[in-house]
Amino acid sequence: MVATQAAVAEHEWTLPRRVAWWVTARRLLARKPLGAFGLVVIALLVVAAVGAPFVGRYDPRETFQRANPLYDPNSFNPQALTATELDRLADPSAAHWFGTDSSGQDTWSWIVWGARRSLGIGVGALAISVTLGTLAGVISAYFGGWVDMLLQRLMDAFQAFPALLLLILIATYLGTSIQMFILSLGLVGISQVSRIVRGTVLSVREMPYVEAARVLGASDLRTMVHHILPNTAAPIIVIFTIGLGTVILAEAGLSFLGLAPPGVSWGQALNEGRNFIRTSPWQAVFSGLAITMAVLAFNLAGDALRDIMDPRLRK
Amino acid sequence: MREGNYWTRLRTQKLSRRRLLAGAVAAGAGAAGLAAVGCGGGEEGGGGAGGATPTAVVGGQPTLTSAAVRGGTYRGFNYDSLVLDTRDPHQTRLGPMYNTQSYIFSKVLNYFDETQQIIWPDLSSDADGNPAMPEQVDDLTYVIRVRPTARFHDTPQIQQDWPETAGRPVTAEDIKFSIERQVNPQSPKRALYYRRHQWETVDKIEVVDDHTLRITTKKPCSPFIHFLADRNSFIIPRELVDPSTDDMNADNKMVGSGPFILDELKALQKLRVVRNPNWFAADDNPENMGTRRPFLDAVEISYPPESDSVVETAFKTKQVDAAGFTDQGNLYRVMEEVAGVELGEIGTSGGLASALLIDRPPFNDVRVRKAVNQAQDRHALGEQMYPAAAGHPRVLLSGTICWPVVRWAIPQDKLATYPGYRFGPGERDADIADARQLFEAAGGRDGVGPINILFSTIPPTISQKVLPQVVRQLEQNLGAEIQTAVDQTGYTEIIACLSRAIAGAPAEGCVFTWSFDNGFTDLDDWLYSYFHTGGGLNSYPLSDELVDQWLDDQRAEFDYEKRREIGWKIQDRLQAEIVPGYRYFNDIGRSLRRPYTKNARNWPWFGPAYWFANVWLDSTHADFSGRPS
Amino acid sequence: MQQYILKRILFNIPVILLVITVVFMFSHLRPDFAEQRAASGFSGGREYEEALAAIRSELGTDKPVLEQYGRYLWDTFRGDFGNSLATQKPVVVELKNRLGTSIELGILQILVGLLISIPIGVISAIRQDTWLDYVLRFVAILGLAVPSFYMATLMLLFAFNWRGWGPPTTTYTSFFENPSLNLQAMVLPALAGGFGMGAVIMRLLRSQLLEVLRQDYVRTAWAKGLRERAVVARHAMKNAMIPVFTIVGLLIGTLFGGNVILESMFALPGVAAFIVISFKQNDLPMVQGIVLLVGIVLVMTNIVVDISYAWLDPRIRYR
Repeated sequence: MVATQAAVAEHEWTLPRRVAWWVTARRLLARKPLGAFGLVVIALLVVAAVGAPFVGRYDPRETFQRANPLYDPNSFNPQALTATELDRLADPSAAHWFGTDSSGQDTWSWIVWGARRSLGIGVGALAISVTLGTLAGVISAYFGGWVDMLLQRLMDAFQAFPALLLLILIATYLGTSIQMFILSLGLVGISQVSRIVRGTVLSVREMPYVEAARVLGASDLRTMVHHILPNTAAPIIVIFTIGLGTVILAEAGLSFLGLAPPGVSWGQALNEGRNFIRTSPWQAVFSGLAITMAVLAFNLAGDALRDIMDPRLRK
Repeated sequence: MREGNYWTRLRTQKLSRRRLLAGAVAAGAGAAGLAAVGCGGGEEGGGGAGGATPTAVVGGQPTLTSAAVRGGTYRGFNYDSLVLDTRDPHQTRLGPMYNTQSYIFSKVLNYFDETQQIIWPDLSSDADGNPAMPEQVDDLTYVIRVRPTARFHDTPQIQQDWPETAGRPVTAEDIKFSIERQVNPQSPKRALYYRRHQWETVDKIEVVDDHTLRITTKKPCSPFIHFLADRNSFIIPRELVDPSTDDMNADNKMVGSGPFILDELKALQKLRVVRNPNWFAADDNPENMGTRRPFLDAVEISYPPESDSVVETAFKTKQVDAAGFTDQGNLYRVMEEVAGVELGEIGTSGGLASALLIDRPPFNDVRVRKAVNQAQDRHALGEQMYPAAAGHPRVLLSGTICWPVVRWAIPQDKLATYPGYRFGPGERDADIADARQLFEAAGGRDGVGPINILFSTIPPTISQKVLPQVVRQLEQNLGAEIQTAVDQTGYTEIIACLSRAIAGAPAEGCVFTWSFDNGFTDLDDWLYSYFHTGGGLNSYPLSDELVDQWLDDQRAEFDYEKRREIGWKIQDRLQAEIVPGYRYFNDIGRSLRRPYTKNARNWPWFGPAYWFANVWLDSTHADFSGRPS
Repeated sequence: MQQYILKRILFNIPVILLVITVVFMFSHLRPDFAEQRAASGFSGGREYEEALAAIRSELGTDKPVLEQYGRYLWDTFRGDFGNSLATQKPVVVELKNRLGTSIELGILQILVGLLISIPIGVISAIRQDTWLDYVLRFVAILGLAVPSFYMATLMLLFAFNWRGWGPPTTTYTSFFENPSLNLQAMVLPALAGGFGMGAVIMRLLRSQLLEVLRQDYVRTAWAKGLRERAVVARHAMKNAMIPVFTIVGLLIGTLFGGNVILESMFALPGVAAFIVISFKQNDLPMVQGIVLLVGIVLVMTNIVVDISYAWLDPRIRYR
């Protein structure tokens, strides 16, 4: 949470001019190779998430077998009766690109389906944050006065808590179902979005062309929708991108602690994997790497987008 | 007068050196519930990587050594500081909790070996005040004498909190009270005394004098001596019980007469107990271990770290004197890496169990019960929960009575003939096909409808590893529709739900439960309260004439072999014909011990922490150097 | 200045009220859920129905919502944050013992963060757009992206494999009792958390420094022929550090209760780990009380930070 706050705070938005998206893309590739790298990784994650049934190779809950060294058909020990045993903690191979975990499940599948979960939860949470945050910011800025005061203090109140604490509080009272989890992650992010949006709206509002539109008889709503909102697009995109990184990190952290809804998750894989890290580190290393790469990619891309979209930094 | 009873006769019998699972400290994290008492396993336990013999696993009883050095603090990892329900020693269901209490409270008798059911006297004495078993006057009557030197703990803090209790003698009244409160129908807590089925066998208790009491049972009750030694049979100072709420649920009320005194208990962090200098049994010198027990100054048990790597580091740097691992592969590797370390192992008697509600659909149809029982692959599930290290099998299957209870469980060769337990070539497929047939005959997916399963989350492997596999197995093998729910508190929702079922109140959501069950020691505990009509744990609810008859018969049977036969009959009927619920497998708990830790034992379940009175740390041992003080 | 202080305090009173309201709101969105959970989990040895009734009356949830809200506000102002279901002791008392650990860890992490970030941030700024700058910025972003628990796991692995060393796991000693043991327990979580913090500070410092370096007065200093080091140290750093101090102030606040994962992993008896323990024990008044207390403390920290920011940068006071 602090990262996003700092990343956005360190940058004061000047008044944006609307620029065609392909121009932005071109600039990005040309001048921000790191950002391009981030976008490539994001694309890969999206492919993994959307195409999980294909990219994942196997069902993540499917267990694999290997030859059983204890095999002895005359024994009463059920672990000796079958010719095969669970293929636990196998090293990477052609059949298992990232090896297998302690339950004989394929780690690559876990990473791929974990991407689906992380991205799914991230997008869901951010959708909530952005929608409600934009609403709050716009209302706050547009109406001003005590509405503004109240809403902004409310946002301050939300921001006062360390995010993880708020999430645990919500989990205590609302349970740890997936829906509640996404909702709580979304709620925690509203305050930052609203702050940025409010700032942008406030500055756009003073612009001459907005004044002109109003003089010409445009209604408040029309002014809002046609003139002001589009100018908030750029900061929102940046928030969305960087925010995804933060939410993925939060989800991984809570899964790691065991406080998130159970499921195929990177955080859970890291939690399990650390028991075996001395002899069979693949599960831990790759899941940790996946989290790192995802957060890295979103941060790099977000940084680059922010730099590109703000005319002031164009050299 | 009878010549002792069959318990005392058993005790004096030469124990055949049958290689049965014996003491190994299972201080493991996660999967199995394991008792903490460290123990220097014999050579057999540690050594060879050989395969296991069919019905039992190699493991030696520790040779008990005479303490040469005294003092020091034993440190280990275990769940003793898991405090989820109550501190009251008769009301708690939690294994770790009554383990903690067993450092502190005495009982009339204590177990020396649970799987062999060898019992030693604790508070019980003869007319001269020497330790002795109770006198069994006739089939119905027992005379118990309390040691005249037994005193409740006495520290400045206790003197301040409970001046009446500090240092006062333990009397026959205390024993009478400890028993009678559990069967008091007026008590607001009566539903919580889940061992009351043991004491309902008592007709009357007469206090003859301060140190003698006479107990008469209603009918001949062969497990009665066991009841006095059972894990929850603590003797408490009666004045500490709040008369209006009938509980003594407070940290500072844990005042007993046992070998250790409670020093601090920090939930989910640490338990520390210190030596009781006035312990009445200090100079008993059993097996020539020495006088002035306990030998240790203190015992400190920390809540187990989350990851094996941390446990490994702690063990290697001697921050702890014994350790168990979630993954036994790690255990064997550490054993090879650290010279001289000892392995202890024992079958754990706490295990997984399913309870079904058989008075309503879908499980009121025995075909559905059998189908679900057979369709679950116990082998595969065992692999998930207790993955074996190569060459060291970890799991054996359990029927109605789990396999480590070797005196009473159906032997493994017989067990392997029951549906759901057969893994010979072709047998598993036959079981699955049969299950499918039964399920279809009962209505199939549509006829039976969705099957709801409630899973526990303690240990978390149940909800994380086992749940998805159970669902897959039932869906694939039966074509059933499975809906799952998870008891986020671990097992307390399950217990609450089943308690309502027992009380005849509407109980939704626990039609089919999958949770960890406290293990027991005696045949009676495994069967009576679960399967007897009106039994205190009979949540199914089962009411079968034959089973009831046999259960009553086994209680009256004092001959071991005959009693065991009856037990087998009961189990056979439950497993083959009725199937009201079932067990799966029990694992072999293993742990490592540093060689300077002496006399520690492994136990099949929580409860015998009193054994720490016999443990000592050999500071002259080579391995002791470098141990943090 | 005094007017500014007054304004900040007044400004934040509604925030505190809202903090209390937010916590209250969450705890009443699905009132029965938490109580049922507590009753079946921690029943204090009572039967389920009885436990449920007792918890309800203890928490006062059998009364109308507005009345509960009023009582909650009143209790909070009196400093009564509720009692633990597990130990019956007040939340504040339970927390007092754990505060030291969390604060110590937080301070250590910030120190690590500052030690890392200041040199790197300065170098990166004065060598802007060179390959060194790119490398350092990448490292900073990496520091942000790598989860602290991942880093801690890897650190534990390497510490043992290379040095045969592991942190003490069985007893925690406070700094005053035994500084050596205490620091051994703290070093890994301090490093793991400090890197992430260092990354944030570094980026902020770098961008602030860049802005300052572009300013006229700096260019004047160049023109006067002052050496680079003098310019940076004397003029630029002082002004660039101001916003950095704000962040650090906020970070201090976050750390008191924000180190949930690291404290749990290393079994440090701090406030944040205690929340997880209370959560697992279904001790809902404790969870609620801790979150509320931390929230209020953080708002107060913000006030202090705002005031010190204004003291450092006079322009702020008149905004």
